[in-house]
This record gives sequence, C-alpha cells and structure tokens, in this order.
Amino acid sequence: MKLKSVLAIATLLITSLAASASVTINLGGAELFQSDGTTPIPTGSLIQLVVSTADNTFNLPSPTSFTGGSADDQILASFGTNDSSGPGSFLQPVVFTLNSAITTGDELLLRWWPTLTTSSSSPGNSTPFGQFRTDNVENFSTINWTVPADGTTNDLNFLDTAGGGTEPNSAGTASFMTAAIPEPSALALIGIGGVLIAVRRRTKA
Amino acid sequence: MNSLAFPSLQRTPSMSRFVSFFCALAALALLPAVSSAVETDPVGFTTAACPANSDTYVSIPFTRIPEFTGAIASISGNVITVSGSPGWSTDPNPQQWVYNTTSHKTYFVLIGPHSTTNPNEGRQYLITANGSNTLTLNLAGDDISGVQPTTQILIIPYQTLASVFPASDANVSFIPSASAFNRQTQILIPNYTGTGINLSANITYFFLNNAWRKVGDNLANDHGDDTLLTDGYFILRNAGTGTNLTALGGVLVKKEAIPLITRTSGQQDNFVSVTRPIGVSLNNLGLISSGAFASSPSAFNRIDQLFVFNNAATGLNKSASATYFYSNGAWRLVGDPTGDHGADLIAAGTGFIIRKGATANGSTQFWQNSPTY
Repeated sequence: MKLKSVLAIATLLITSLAASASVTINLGGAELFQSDGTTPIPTGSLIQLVVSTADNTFNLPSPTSFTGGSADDQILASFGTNDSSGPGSFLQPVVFTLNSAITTGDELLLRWWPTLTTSSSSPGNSTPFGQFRTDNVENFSTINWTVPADGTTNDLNFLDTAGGGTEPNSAGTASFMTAAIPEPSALALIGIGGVLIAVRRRTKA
Repeated sequence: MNSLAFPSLQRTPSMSRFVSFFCALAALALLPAVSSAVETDPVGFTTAACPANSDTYVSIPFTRIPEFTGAIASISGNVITVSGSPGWSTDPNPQQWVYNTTSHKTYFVLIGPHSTTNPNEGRQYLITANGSNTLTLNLAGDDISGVQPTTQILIIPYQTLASVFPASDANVSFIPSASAFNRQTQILIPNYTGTGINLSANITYFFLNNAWRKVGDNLANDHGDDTLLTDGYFILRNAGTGTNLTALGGVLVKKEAIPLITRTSGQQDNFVSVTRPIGVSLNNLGLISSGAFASSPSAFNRIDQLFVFNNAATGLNKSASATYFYSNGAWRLVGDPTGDHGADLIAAGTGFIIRKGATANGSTQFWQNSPTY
C-alpha cells in the first residue's frame, strides 16, 4: 500500500516535470537613442532581451558574439523596433519557456543596437549599443528585470524621461561600443614588438 | 411556437456576477428547420465586477444573435450545402459569411440537432468561404462526414473585442489607456494552441486612441474585429481602476461541444468556458457523461483536473482557487478528497482550465454540454 502511494506520487511528479510552461513579457521601451544621446534609434534597430541563467552577470558583447562568449547568457528575444509609440520605441510580446537553465529569478537585460537589425549575425567591431536593467519595478511594469513565475503574463518597460518615464535619457543612450579582442597572432606581434623596443632601448643605453 | 422560461436562474454573488434579466423573444424550433429562416433565440445580459489591479477570468455567456438557421442538404468534405435557396451574397460581392470591413463580422457554424443522431452536435466551425447556398468550413482536423442531411445548423457571428467592449463603453467596462506603456484595462488571450501546462496568455490588447490595439503590432491597426472564442475565455486585467462588464447576447439553447486537446507525452491545459448564462454545477457540465474527462484513481494520482479562479480575489497572475478531479464516481476537491462536490457551481461568465492527462493517441476529445434550462 505504501509502495503504491510512493509510486503514485512519483508518477505525478514525473508527469509534472515533463510538462512545459511558458512566460509572456510584454516588453516596451521608449525612447532609445543613438550614441549621440539625442537621435532616436532608427526603425528596425535590433532589440534583444538577454537572460543570465547562472551567475547574474552579463558579459559585454564582442565583435563576434552577442553574448561575449558567456557560458550562461542567453538571448531570449531579438526583434526590430517598430516605432509603435513614437521614434525610438517598441512594444513587443516576448514568450519563452522555462527550463532547467532559464528559471524564475534569473536576471534580465535589455540591449539595443542602433546600427544593427535582426538580420545581423554578429555585432562586428566598434558597434555601438546600449543596455539597461534594474531590480526596481518601475514605469508601469508589473515585474522587475528578472524572469517571472511560469504561466504568468507581465508588463516590463524601459522608459526614460523622453519616453514618459523616470529613467534619465542617458540610460536610454547607446553609450557602449564593441571592442576588438586581439587575435593570437596579433598578440604575438605586439609581444615581439615590445621585445624589440626593449632590446633597442637597452642597445641605446 | 414554444415559449421559453428560466425557472432555475441562480445568483452567484460570490463571483460578482449575476444573471440580471432574460426575455424570451420568440419561439424556438427544436426540430430541424427545413428552410432558410431566421429564428430569434432568447436574449439577456449579465454583469460582472472586474476589480482594480486584478485579473478577472471572463467569458461571454451569450452568443451573438444567430443570423441564419437552416438545414443541411448535403456535405462534401468541408463544404456544407444547405436546403433551399438562401441566395447568399457571394463573389464578386463580399461573401456574406466571411469577414469583411463592412460587416466587421466573422462567422461560425454551430451544428445543431438531428431527429435521430448527430455525433457532431454542438461543434463549431469557422466559415472560410460561402457560395449562394454553400458554406466552406475550417474543420481544424475534425470530420463532419457523419453529419446527416436535415441536421440543423446555425450561422452566428463571433463575439469580438468591439462587440463586447464598444468604444461607447469606455470607463465602464474598460478603462482606455493614455499611452502604449501606461496601459489601463488589458485583455489577455490565453495561448489556446500552446503545448503543455501553465501556459501564459500570449496576446494582449488595450484600448488606445479610440480603438483596440495589440501589443506587438503597429499601433495604427484597429483590432476591434478580432474574435473572442465562444467556448474560451479571456483575462480582463485592470490597472488602478475597477470596471463593470455587461455582457449582452442571445441565450444558447443548443448543445455545445467543446474540444479538449490532449497529447501523448504529458499534460495539456485547455482554456475553456461554457456559453450558459446561469451557473452550471460540475455534475451538469457533461464532462463525465460525454467521456471527455478521465476519472482519477486517487487524489494523489489525478488524471484530468479542473481549475477554477476566484474573480472576487484581487491580484495579477492569480493561481487557481480550487482544483477539482473526478474519482470514485463523484467530483472531488483537492483539500477535500472524500466529499462530493458535484453541486459546486461554475459561475456564469467565468473561465476555467481543464488540464487533460496524457492519452494513448493524443486525440482531441469533444466535451458536450447540454443546457439545463
């Protein structure tokens, strides 16, 4: 009898674990600016919602990787702005499934790329971007910038002053830029150059 | 000509919803009609309080008024030919039963009764095209080959956002939004086609600049004609101000067959409602008699489950307030697994979830509900 109960509970647990769940975030943003801090990002600019699935730290993008080669950062959604509520704005439902990696409480990050579109496969060198997250629930959002509970539908907005919100416009500016990481061969050349300079100085002395 | 009375109207004040009024306007033809004719069913209205800062699980317990009632002459695949010569408008004019921006209506066919037997009675199919006396249906994988000639059909417009929430109802049943980001009343549509359980609502509407807008779409587009499923529900999410929704329409006096999706590899949530303007007890839902709801061996090994929500409770993304299952010949409640809860009511105009357990073939099961009035 006891064994039967245990088996029944185990069956129920297995069934529950096998079931999938989803989360919807109605993600909004306004007004997002290019690197000059005054020009709205163009229509179709790439927007990404990134999640840190393990360490609650977001790697900066590199020219070859939107997640900077991070082992745990994942891009939950990529879409283009549609100026749905004026220049440099967007309003987009993002639906994703929780799994063993993406869990409730993982931190979320908004990232925007004024010079890229959804067809961009990688950032490229010296590409401007902006990013934002906060632990506060603000600007008509129903959650903060963390993954909400499964089965829920939520509003999450980034709104700066120009967009009718409370964040400063500087928070909506693409203030960052991808930086080239030197190739190994370039590193070797730099090293050789350094040695040569040192040798030359020593020779002069 | 039969008159219709409603002796069993029940109030369900705990759900802030009550049936207010019925008016039997005209006769009901309970036997199949043999010619194209419009008959008028009883109409009525209900009201529901939708609290501030809360999700309310709402269904419309009425259909819109049927615009055609007739009989089937023949069926070929997904095309129904009706008896008589209704002379419906067709190409090059707008097809009479297909959505266009003049009528603002999308129609479905409700398969009615037959004098002997009808395996598809109560099922609904979207009309995708029509000829002068034919209807092309989207069967969504179903089969209507077993439906007999002389079976009654009704053509009914779907409820839409604009029919349930007309602009004239602003600040009563819904609060318009000042901006796309500061949304007041939102209408959340469950993910009817998603796989699995705990599925979030994946479509969101809000009222802005005198029309219904959709999150993710160009805000210039008017979504007022988007349809609301008769046998589904939506979530009305209010911000800081509560609203009162008055639902109007025709009383469905036919059987209603609601598809319940299953799958072989796990549980599946179905977001459903019954189109009845009075509370329906679990015993009277017809879930068991139609074989669409599996009995559970025990409270710890539940196969099919029914989740209801407390619309009087405040809050967003609310959990179900009660979970029912069927076991040992009666409806049981999680928390009271030995009591008989068959008399518990599903309040009129509310939505609930039926979580189907895995089935051997993953087929859709039709749950047939009959009116108790």
